[in-house]
Amino acid sequence: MKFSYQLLKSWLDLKLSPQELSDLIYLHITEVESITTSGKWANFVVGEILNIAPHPNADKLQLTKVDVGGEVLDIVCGAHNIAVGQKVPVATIGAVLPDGTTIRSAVIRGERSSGMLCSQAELGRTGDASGIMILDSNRTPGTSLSEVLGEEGDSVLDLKILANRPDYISYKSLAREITTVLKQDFTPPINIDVKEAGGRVNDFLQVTVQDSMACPRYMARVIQQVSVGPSPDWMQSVLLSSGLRPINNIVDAANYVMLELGNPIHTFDYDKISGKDIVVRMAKPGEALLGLDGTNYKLNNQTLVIANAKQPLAVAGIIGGEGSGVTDATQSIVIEVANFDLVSIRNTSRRLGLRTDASGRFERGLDIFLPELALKRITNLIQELCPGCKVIAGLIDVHQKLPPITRALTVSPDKINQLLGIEVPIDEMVDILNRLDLPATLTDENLTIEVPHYRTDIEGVADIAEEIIRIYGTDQVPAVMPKMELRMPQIPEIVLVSNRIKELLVRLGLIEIYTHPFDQGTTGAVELANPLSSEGTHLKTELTNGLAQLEFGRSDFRVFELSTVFAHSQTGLPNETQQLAIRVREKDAYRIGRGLVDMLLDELGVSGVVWREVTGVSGLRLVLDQTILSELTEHGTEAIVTLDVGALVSHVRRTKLYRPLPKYPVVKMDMAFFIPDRIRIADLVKDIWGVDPLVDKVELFDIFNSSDRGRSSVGSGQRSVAFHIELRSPLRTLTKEDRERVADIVENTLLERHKARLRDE
Amino acid sequence: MEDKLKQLWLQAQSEIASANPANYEILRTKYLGRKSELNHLLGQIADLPIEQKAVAGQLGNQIKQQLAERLNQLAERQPKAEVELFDPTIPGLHPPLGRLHPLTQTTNELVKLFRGLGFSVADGPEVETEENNFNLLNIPDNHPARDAWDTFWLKESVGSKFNPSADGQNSKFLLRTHTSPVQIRYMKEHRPPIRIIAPGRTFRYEAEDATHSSVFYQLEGLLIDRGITVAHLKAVIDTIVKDILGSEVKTRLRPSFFPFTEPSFEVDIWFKGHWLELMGCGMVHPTVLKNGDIDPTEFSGFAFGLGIDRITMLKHGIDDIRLFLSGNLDFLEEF
Repeated sequence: MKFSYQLLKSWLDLKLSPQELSDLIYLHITEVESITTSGKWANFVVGEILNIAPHPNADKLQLTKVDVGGEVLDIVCGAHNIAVGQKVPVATIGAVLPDGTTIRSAVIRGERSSGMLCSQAELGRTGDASGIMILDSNRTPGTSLSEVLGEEGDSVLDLKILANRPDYISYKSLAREITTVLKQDFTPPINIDVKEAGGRVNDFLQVTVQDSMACPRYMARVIQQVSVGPSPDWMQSVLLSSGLRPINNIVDAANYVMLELGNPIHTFDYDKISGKDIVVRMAKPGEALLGLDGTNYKLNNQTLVIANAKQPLAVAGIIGGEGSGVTDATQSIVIEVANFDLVSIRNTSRRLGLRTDASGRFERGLDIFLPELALKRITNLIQELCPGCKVIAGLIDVHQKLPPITRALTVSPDKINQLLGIEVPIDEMVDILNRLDLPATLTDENLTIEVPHYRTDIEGVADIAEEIIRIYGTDQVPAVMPKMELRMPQIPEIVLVSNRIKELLVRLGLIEIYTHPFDQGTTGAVELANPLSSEGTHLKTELTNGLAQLEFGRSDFRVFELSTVFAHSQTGLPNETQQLAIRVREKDAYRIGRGLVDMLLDELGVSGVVWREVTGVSGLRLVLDQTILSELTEHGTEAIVTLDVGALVSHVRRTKLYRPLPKYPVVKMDMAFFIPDRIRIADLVKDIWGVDPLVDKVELFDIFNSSDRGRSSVGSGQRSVAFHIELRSPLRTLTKEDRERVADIVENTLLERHKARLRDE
Repeated sequence: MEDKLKQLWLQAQSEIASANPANYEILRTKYLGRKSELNHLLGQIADLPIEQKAVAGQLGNQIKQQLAERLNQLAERQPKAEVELFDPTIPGLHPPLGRLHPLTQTTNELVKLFRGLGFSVADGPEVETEENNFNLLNIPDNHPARDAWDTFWLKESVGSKFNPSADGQNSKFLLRTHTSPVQIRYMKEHRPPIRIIAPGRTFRYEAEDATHSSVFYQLEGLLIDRGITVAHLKAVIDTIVKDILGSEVKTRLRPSFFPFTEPSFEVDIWFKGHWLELMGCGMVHPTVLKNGDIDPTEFSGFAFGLGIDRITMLKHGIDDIRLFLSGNLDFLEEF
């Protein structure tokens, strides 16, 4: 919400600059989202001249570089009284000079100029017109000129309204907060005197509230003989600073009081109500309302409306109707100051897709006692603006039983300090609470606080502690490390295993990537009710499809992702598990993909896994105890691997066990075979292992077929495969005879079982 | 056949003897190559009558060996050009270097730092109940506070549409909007003292731009014991921030509002000449302690929610949050 610095200044004894005030609010009250300057000196700032150079195309002009606070502008200047280091007034792009000229970026004789250095005369002041106005050298570049000249013009502070403090949307509350921090006394300068002119309001207006849940309070007055016209400048200026468009004095006064006190106010043209009845009720099916914004709104039985005897006049708390608004022709008005239920307003506002200043306030939840004050204030203000008007005596006030205006809360100051970790003196606490409209008295070492009804956020000691510390200053709290029992930190096994896998893959040269967890869904996928796009309607059930679609723009890469995947569960929340996906593109990608999984599992100490062929799939599955742990698939130059990390966890060994180094030397031999294409290499390897217990290692080191160029001939339908075979005995040194014996068995076995012909070279 | 072989031998040996070593490759191909005459002749031996086969075969092999030997001698006479041509300024080759994602790196660093202070790691599901994500964290339905969390909801479907909550009401499922539900889960399972962090993926239903992502990463912190104060919160936060962003970084707390903490603060950091908003924190709200079955009159604690993306961006000067999920290898290889 936007607050006018000038209005706050008129309410308070404020010696702070807009920036200083902003800092105070930021550190003690709420976030300041921006400070902007509005009014006469918007876009005029103090600049420091950094450099002056002659203009290449014009003798009388100079090129300057001017620091305007965080930005350096190039500005062409005609005056010659300036020097480097001077502070001068700068009209930046968008500034409007008092003579009406708007400053725009321009090229002057071939040089870009992004602003203007100003003389006294150009600023509309009496004084020298020939030279640039030179400012006090202590001024900081970027400071608003309004601050320097001490002249009108306004700064607007846009504040974040915290969800627990709906009352912050008023000058009254903000001013109270500021004076609390400044330790100043505060009385809102709000005149609420009302002079009634006679008559009886009940003769003019009957209000019936049919839904007191949605409308807990409805207050109204009738004023006759108003003179509708433009509102005064001071009021328009505040409205503009707050982002509201001036309309006429009646509507503007309503908005002005809304800003002052926080309660939205609606005004009706009395004569357009057509009758004496106002009914607050839910709309009937088929009813509609042409809003003040020109839109025709369709209403339903959840839409609270303000109606006359026949039809809706306004959507309660959100927007008035075109047909009943105050215009220049209006003579009598009804002022409505009501309290509407936040949920009802929120739902209707959402359904209509319409958020107004009024709805934005009501949906935060407003003080049920506030309409009393607001009605007095608006009546007073209209009397001031329309001195000839006639306020009908009496007011309408429809409500159920009101809650107590205040409730007592007893808290212990010790408890407050125990939560804060400092010693705030008790009298300091009392002072802060009293200034915050939380009157506190000390009895029996306890604080008894009269919490006003509107402070719904205050329930107990923690809430009071917050009030104390934000005013007292968080910088007063020392930083003290907690003293706690020593305990060994625990990390879930799945986290440890995932981290080990990531580290291992990185050691193997893979790059980790993160992707969005959404896709278009497969069977069993969990679907979003409100996806952001049609490409991301479901949660991923597996990672490889997404990974396979990424374009890396490289000929070779090794990447992986380890993340959560989701599947429907019969009971409760979806099943979530950690999955690893690897994508490799390079020479021998498939073999590398398989090797990565083998090495990974070996490093993690997982044993008992078996690779199985799957019919119809160009790849393998890795199985452990009937569970599919991993799938490896070949895609031309690429391989893709998926690994179920969740299922792996219980098989991972944390510690590696020492395998005694061999005592006797190894005997190595290489054997090459021509084999028919259909023979699986895995079968050969298995059979080589099987020939003799002396076999200690079998490694494929060469493979090619007839289509591989540059290799010696191999018949078509054949492959040439070559193995390093190592023999070792734990009991003795092997001899040449051992080697020949085993070689013979290997040769015979493979010939017999696989028609593998030894390549004798 | 024998004659042919002998003739070939004579021709070959004299040519090799007088040859320039530079022509080694040419000669090797000529006499021992796959299409050489010798190879051709050897191929024909198989077709000879049995008695000639043995003799010719032996002769052929002898010639082949001899030629190979002579050619090797010739090769050795070649100047050792390679040594002279070695250029020490040749650029290095870069073997592939694997890399952890920058968000993993930051997470690991944070986990390590907090572990040093005795914090355990806790985790929770990414799909949560409305109950854990909002209600038990003191964010009731229809409360204005909910506006701060734009939420992805799950579509209701058979089997998993609702989860009964404590009060018997049905609780809808959603993608957790923060890591704070882990607080509730952990409190219900553990007694104080509690000292945990919970890093993880979180979701907001919002359009993406350079500073907003619908998918982002948070690290929740929760510490509960007897006598825990704002002063303790201040010390822990300040220690961690200085450790990860640099000892010259200053921190300050300023008032804020979160439904699950009271008092609530934003942590600002003085970083590279500016105050920047870093994260939200506060003392755990008594209602939240109660919802976690912890007696607020006996215990107090603090909680914080640190944006892992945000701290990574600050640390490395990254200006677009969307890069993290882009799969852009050039980006990832910078870290």
